[in-house]
Amino acid sequence: MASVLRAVFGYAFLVFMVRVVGRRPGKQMTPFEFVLIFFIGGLTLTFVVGDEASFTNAIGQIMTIAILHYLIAWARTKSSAFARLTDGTPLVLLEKGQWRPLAMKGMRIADDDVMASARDKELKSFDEIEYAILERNGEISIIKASEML
Amino acid sequence: MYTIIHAILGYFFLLFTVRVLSRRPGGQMTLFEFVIVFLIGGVIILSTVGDDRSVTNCVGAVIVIGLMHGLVS
Amino acid sequence: MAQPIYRKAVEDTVPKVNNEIAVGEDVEFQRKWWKFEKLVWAAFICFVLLDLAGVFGRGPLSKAHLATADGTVNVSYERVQRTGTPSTLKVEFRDRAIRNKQIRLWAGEDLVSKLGNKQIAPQPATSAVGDGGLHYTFPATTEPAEIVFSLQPPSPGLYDLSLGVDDFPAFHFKILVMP
Repeated sequence: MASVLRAVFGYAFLVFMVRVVGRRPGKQMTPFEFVLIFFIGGLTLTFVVGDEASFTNAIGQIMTIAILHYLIAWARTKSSAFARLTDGTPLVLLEKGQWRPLAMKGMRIADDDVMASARDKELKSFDEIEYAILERNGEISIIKASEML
Repeated sequence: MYTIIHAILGYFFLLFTVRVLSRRPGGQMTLFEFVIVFLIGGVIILSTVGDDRSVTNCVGAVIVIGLMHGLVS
Repeated sequence: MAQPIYRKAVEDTVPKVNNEIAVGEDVEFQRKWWKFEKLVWAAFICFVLLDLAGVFGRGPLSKAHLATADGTVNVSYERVQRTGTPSTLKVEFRDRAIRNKQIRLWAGEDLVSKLGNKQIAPQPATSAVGDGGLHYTFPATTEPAEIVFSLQPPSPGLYDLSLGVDDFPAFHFKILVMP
């Protein structure tokens, strides 16, 4: 009973922590993020297991977390408001030559990050970008300007 | 209280180790770095929580790590 | 004929920027979320400061001390403890508490049942159960005499504890056990 509650709390807490602390742009996890994820994961694991390191307990807690994870994934497809809460919303960073400083500052993105994504798409200069969008998965999408003026 | 100090020290120690040992800063993790983080991280977690495996203690430590990460990034 | 699998026509419900590109941006939500994030960070800092001070146990503020008016019996313990985490309750005596080379001490039942008393140092010469509590006698010769109870509370809650030495006023105090 208490161990299931601990598993529920541990999962919810971890999801919350990663949502608040973890989201930074970039496809790959840097060692920096890896340290964070591993550290908070391991610490959460410690209290979720507590001193009940039995087989039964482990199975019960894994089941609990699996069900919770399934429920969250299901709720995300059902409600866009819930998906917004767990994944956030895409943000326009650059619109037709205009930076959006609030979004950039809020998501801790430097203009160089956007330019790096542009180079990845083989765009050479700033003028060739029509839109730059920070997606929910942390990638920066670049929309090429259709006609050059 | 001691957990918090331990967590701060442990976080920086782990970060420092990974930084020193990783050849390409900010790049992809190599298998070697994975092993290092798992090994050192596991040991540091054990020493951080000590004999106090209560929810209060571990939640406190997680929050400290979150704050540290927010400060450093 | 095969049944159509999708009954509903595919619709584009994602809001567009300038009627041009489907992004689904929700600036209003993001603004609220940033506000919420700021609150969360503030709450985190508060939590850590309180934790450092020992409000949740294992810090300076959680240590408590009780004494009889004449200072014969002193009790030090942790006001806030944590589930499954060892803690100690220490009782110190002056000469006046020692009768016939022994100290008689009683404690409420919660000491064992709720606070998980595992060990007493030194070992009591006798222990008996009765009157809703436990009675111990310890051999003692001269001051400073000190008895240490090792505690390990098994489950969270707020517990009342009574403790006393024969012929001296008893102590009644509360111990909060955090999850």
